[in-house]
Amino acid sequence: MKAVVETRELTKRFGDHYALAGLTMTVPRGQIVGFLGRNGSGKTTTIKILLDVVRRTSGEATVLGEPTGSVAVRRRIGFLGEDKRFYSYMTVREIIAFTRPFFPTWRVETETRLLMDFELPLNRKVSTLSKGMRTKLGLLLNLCRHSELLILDEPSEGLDPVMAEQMLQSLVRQAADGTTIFFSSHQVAEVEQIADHVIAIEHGRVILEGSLDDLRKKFRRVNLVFDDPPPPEAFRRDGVDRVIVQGRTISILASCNVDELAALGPLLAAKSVDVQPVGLKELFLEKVKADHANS
Amino acid sequence: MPIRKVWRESRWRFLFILAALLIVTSASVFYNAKAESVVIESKDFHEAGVRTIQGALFLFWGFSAMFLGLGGFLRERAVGSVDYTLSLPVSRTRWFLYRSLNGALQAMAAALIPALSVSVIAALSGGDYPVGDALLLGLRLGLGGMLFYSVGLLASTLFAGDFTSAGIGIAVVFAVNNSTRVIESLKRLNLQDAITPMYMIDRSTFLIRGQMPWSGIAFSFALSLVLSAWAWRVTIARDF
Repeated sequence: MKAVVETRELTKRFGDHYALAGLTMTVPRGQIVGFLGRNGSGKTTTIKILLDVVRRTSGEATVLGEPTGSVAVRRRIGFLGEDKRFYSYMTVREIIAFTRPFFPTWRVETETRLLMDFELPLNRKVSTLSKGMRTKLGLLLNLCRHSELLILDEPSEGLDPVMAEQMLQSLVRQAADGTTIFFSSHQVAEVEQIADHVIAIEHGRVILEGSLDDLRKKFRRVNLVFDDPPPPEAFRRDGVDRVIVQGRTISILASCNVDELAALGPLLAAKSVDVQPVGLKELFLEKVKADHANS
Repeated sequence: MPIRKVWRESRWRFLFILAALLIVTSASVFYNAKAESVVIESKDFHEAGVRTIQGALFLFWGFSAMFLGLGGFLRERAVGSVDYTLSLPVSRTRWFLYRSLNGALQAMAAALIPALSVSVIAALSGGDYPVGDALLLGLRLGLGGMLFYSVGLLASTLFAGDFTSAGIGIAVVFAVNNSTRVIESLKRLNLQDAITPMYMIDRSTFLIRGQMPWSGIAFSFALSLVLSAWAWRVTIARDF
């Protein structure tokens, strides 16, 4: 599986603050990749570095095999920013006409179809469009390019549920056409809805990475109830991410050795042992908590 | 394509400045402050013309040229469109080049057109002012005063916020004009004198006599290139 985006030990410092602190990640080709993180975790900074809007402090980053900043690469990618701001002085027609010549792979038939689907008013100034309309315009400007990689920063931010759903479905259709979608979000539900692959970051570092299916298969929560709980250290071993003691219950988040942990329950006189799958939201929250505990 | 964007962004500002400069030029030509008389009665367009280009037009154009230099990526960051611009397959250098050349051409046009309008106004009013003199003085104003334009260009790449960069630009233009007028040791660096050396203007006809010196203008223009190169370096290196 070839990567479309790769970063290695990427750092970005703003004054004394590290927005990225050694970010190493890989975005696989042909997938929908959700870039998950809390507000201020470094998602936008990462995306801006990939687009060369912000310069990295150290580390390496490549997009479609080229270093960031390559003009040739920008011809092969699309980008929709969080604010979805375009040139306010242009009309919808003008900004489409302005953008079209930059991209040799622009498909006029897609443009015509999306103009009808999105019901965009061609003669309206961009400055008078609502955020929802600007999102539609941004999608049109990007989807017509048929680029290899589409990067979106918080695409559903500020959209109503209907528009957000329309937008997510547009991304799924585009991915089916072979475009890799890399989108940032702090909404676990929408990542879980459309992503094949997840990269979660916190404090500018990756805390979780993998295909959604693998993560779902790999992680389990083991709940053990005791009359007299043993110390949490008894459960510390490879694959154990977090051990929480709540009264008589010990809850363990584990990525492997689940059977061994479950078998440990009866040996330590557990009254009940329960193994449950872990959802992405729970997994993400646990990883964030673990990161805070470690730092 | 990029040139369409930079023109669209700047055209109303340019046209407004041009209109304002034409009004200032007309008013100055018709009322020659030096003679304290209405020129149209005296038909003395030679003196009024040269004093207009050297005085009112120089002053107002200097500030206007600085305003024409404002804009760029920091301005786009403020209005939120910089991410879109920088995601397009155009290098920062090319964007900078298009913007700076578009602005420089506008600044030059804003010097030449009002200067040439002196000849037109004179002709329409039954007098005359040589087109050659107007063209030469306008050209010298545009080339020598390009320093003011590059001050605006640099200020808008160093400081975010329209008011900050404009304020700093105005202060620099004001300081350059006044310090070289007031401080004795700096007087030979005065841009106004370099652009229109009054000793090269015939005192009786108020027309240009002989070959005007270009060294002052060349120095000022070179300095404006240095400031522009500095602005380019900042544009290349900074985060948006």
